[in-house]
Amino acid sequence: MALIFSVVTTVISVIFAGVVFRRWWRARRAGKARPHLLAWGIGLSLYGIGALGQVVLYFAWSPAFFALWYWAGALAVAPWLGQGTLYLLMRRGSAARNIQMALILICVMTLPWALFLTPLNGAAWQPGMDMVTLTNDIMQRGGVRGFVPVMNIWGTVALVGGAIYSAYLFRRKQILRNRMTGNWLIALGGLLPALGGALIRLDLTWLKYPGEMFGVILIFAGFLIATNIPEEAPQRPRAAMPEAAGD
Amino acid sequence: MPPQAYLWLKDSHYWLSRGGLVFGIVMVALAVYIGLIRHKDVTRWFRRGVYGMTGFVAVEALIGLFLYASGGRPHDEVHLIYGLGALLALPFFIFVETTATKRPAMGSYIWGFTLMVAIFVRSIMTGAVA
Repeated sequence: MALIFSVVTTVISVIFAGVVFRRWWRARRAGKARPHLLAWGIGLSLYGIGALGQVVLYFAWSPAFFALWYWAGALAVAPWLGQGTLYLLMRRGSAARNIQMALILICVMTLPWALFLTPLNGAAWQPGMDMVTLTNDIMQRGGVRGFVPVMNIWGTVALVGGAIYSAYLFRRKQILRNRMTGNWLIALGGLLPALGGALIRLDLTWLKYPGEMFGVILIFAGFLIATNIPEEAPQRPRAAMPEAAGD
Repeated sequence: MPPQAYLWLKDSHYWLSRGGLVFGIVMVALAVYIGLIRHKDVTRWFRRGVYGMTGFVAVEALIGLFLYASGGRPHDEVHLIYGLGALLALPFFIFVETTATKRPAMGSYIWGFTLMVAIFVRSIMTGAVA
């Protein structure tokens, strides 16, 4: 089942990333800056790379794919998705851009670290085995793994917390119902992979894969609902609705 | 390379890193004072200091690369990653500050120098023992 979940996750996240990048590119051509779409597009591409790594590692051992799987899936996805939400929530000053620069810097440092400087024990790999249970045997603790908790907490708080905050504001103001619903779905979808990570510690590793798959499906659904602006939506000045998690 | 020149470069790399750390801490303190306490924007002299620090780190990285190419190895290979991070830390934040439409933008340098100092500390911890 882990293989099926991983394949579906890869396909959905690649399609989702394509949709987001397309919107970002169209906005850019129209002269509008939409950095949150770019950040989400990068995050979803990393989601896809992580899931693809799981598929490849199900069949064959590859140090490069293992490093990419770990780096993209465990370290970089959550903060990039969270970064998109931060762009929508922090519109004053350059705080969101500064955080993005810190994120790029950490990613630029950790990618070669994971790829070239982390010793991997390929002998511990077995075909068809759950990669999560093998991680501790393949990769020793410390090193690049030290970044994972910080990056995940940072990303999950930004994505899930930002979506809950936006949904709460829309509900309180009784406006744009679709955005409220979309944000609830995004929050739930962001929480599922994070919960999967927590469940690994409780030895419920098999829940990680459905968590990832349903996570990306819910975020995709939430994104489509939140960005579908109904015709009867009240026209309000843009500055009055900075909390919209969708554009 | 003559052994004497190699030793001189190794010594320079060691002491310049300590000097860079002190300079970085001073710049963090200045950025906090100007940006958070006085609520002012980046001054001309501060920006010169930023560019000076960027050049300084570039020279330090070049010496490190030269030592590596000459067969020298750090205490831990991860030193190379921290070196890369130290080199890139400031340019990213210079980009944000110089393209910021909303002023003041000293926050970029508070972020940049704080990160750079943290990377310098790790870099020194993983570098060669003198």
